Amino acid sequence: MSIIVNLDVMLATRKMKSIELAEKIGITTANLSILKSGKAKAIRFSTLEAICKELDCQPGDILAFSSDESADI
Amino acid sequence: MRKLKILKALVDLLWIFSMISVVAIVVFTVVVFLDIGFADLDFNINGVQIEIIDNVTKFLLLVLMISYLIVIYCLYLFREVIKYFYLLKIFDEVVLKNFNKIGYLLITSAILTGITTTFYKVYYMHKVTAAFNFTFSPFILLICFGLFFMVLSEIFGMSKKLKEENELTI
Repeated sequence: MSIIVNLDVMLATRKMKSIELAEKIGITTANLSILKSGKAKAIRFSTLEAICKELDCQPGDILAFSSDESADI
Repeated sequence: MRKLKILKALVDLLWIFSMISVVAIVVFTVVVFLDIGFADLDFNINGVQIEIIDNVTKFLLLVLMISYLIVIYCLYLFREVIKYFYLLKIFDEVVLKNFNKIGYLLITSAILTGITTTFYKVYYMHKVTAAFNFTFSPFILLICFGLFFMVLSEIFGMSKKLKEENELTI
């Protein structure tokens, strides 16, 4: 997919662990792992809102678009 | 799920009866091909009266039997599908493949039967009739069923994709 999830970077800059974020936003660590690995097909606005609120960032800080076709593979 | 139970019971019953008929057909084939008996008997297969037993009719009978066995195999595949439904594995890859396979096989069976019976009518009875029946022709019905199963396979494929997308929505 050409949408890149930069959640790892944001978590590292905020020095927060995945499990901690998952607990705070109310999703399972397995789902957060799917989101981080870029396997997710879609993200709900409510989830995005919760992540942005917890990490104090904008949606653009978490998601980025890349036109590189090789990202699909 | 009660309907599924009834369907499973009916298909299982049909399967048992078809197994008996398969045994009868195998015996019948051996008897006809070895010219053991039935010399004076007339056969009626799919509404076609077979009076002469020669090598060509033997071949036609063989084709018709293969066509029948294909339908039995479709029933077996359908039973597999019902088993998966029973286990709530509705969008399993096996279900999709079986539906598609059933579709192709039913169409193949319909074509085989259609060609064979038409050939027999033209070759032996020297007549081409235009019949108007107000009932469904088994040939057309079988092709419709085949296409229906193929469409069902595609629909299940789409549903599977949607289900995966739904599951991967965080």
